[in-house]
Amino acid sequence: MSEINQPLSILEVNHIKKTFGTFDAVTDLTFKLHPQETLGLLGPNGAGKTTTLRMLAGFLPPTQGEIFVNGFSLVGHPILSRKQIGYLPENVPLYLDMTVKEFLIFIANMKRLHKQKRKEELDRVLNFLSLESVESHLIGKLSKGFKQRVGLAQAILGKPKLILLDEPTSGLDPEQTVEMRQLIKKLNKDSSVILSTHLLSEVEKVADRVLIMNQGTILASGKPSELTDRLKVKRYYRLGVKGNDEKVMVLLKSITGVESVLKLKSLEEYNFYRIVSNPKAEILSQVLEKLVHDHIEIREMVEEESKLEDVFLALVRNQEKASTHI
Amino acid sequence: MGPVFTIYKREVFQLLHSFIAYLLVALFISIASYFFLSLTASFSIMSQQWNENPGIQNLNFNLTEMVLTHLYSNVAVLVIFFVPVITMRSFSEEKKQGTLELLLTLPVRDWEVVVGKYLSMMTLFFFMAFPLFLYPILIQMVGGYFEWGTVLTGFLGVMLLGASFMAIGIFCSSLTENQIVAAVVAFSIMMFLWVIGWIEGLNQSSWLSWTGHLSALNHYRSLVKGVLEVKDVIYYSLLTLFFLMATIMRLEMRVLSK
Ligand SMILES: Nc1ncnc2c1ncn2[C@@H]1O[C@H](COP(=O)(O)OP(=O)(O)OP(=O)(O)O)[C@@H](O)[C@H]1O
Ligand SMILES: [Mg+2]
Repeated sequence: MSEINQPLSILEVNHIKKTFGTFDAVTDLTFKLHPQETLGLLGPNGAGKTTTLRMLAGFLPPTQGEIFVNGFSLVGHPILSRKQIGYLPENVPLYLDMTVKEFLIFIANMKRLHKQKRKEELDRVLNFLSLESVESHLIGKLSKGFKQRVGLAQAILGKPKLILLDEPTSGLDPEQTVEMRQLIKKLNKDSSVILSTHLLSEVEKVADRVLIMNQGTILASGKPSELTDRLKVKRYYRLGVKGNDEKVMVLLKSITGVESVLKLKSLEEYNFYRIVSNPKAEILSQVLEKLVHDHIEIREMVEEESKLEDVFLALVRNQEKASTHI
Repeated sequence: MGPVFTIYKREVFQLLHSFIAYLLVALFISIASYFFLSLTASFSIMSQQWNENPGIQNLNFNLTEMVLTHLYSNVAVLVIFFVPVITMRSFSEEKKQGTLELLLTLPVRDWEVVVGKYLSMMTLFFFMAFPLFLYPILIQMVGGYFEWGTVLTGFLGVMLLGASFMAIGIFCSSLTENQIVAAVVAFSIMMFLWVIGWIEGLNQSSWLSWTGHLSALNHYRSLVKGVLEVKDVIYYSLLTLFFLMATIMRLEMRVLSK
């Protein structure tokens, strides 16, 4: 097996494991990352997201297993493989005593960009992250949002094939978070991206694929939409009908598979409800049948996308259950 | 441009922008100059007395020995106090700020980071120690005479001492994110190496003689007296190398606060 074959994947992670003392922070992780793919690493505090990214960035050597970046082994070719990686560590560490430009030149030199390319890249990155207005400001004096952008700037400098971002939106206000996500979405033009987060909504918004982690292992993986589909815990429907509120409530609750009914609002003569059902029960036809039978006029009935939050909670709960059984 | 030079430049840049660095250099030079002036003054008083009382024959009044040797001995103690303050930041601060993770994931090797930082601190040390070289020139200009061999070996001694103690300081800084702890540990190791030779002669048998070989003071003493011996140069080189390697190994352990 040649190490330098043209890879189909930007990143190949083979059964990596990280043990601190006797504690397994990451146990047996295997996955691949395709060109231009954005992967979300999702998990609660202590899941092992940072530890994983630190291994992928070449900071922590895995206790076991191998990592190949664009075909190069992180251990065998540390410099070559790291040249393909841009990494934004958790909490955005920066040299606060440098100006934005001085810092980025330092990083460009460390990444060994050639002088001509360096200038080009510097301009591109400053422009991409709208940092021109603060390029001669001290990093220590910048707002949190700008610091985060400087952190992202150093990561993407030199157009690395693989960009690793550890909780890139943590600590930002809602507006800055939205801006940051928009920037991250644009990164996959030149690179593959892995970002970690404990916000499920974030993954839904920016990732093509998600790995859900807990206690150092992958609980589930897939497209955010697939995952909600496959592992759906509950189904949610929104129903709008005309007429008698109490009668409808009773009727809906009598259907097998319906777990709860919540009245959302009344609009003109219509009432709107949220129905939560067991995922295995097909309640749609039953609901329609009964409503028609009782001559209740239906305005709408739609299945709402279930939230990744629920999937996630269920997965974590299942895992915890499993571990307490042992 | 190599990463060692890039890191070196950044560290020097940081020193140039730090008030503490200027303060340390100014303080070091002031104190060393004070030593020099007071030693020269007492020498001139004593030589005057000697001229007035030629009866005291067996005293050997030698400017080099009386001023320079004493000066270099005092400066060594100054080095022990100053070096930990210079080096304590080097890795502790990077650990505390988390920038070490940034630095060590760039396409550089750990040793390049250590060497870049080390060289920047040696540059600072050079500027602190350089005036020691100027004093003899000054004296020469007003008509005094120094044995230049001793001036050179003495200066070499100060630089070698600084080089090895800098390495100790950097190593201590890589141990902890607490700068004060780093400085205190570094100071303790330097002090230990300085005084360990004192017990060499306590016992007639030779089992304590290793303390003499280990003593930084003993190896310094001969250089300052104008004796250039390979074993002393090797001693300081090994000490430097040992602690720089230890620093690199420490970094490779990737011990973080979290
Ligand atoms: N250097 C270390 N030494 C010992 N234990 C560690 C070390 N780094 C991480 N851990 C432990 O490994 C586990 C995973 O930590 P990690 O930081 O990877 O989690 P995370 O998913 O990034 O969490 P968070 O959302 O809080 O950032 C935690 O229990 C943590 O205490
Ligand atoms: Mg984390």
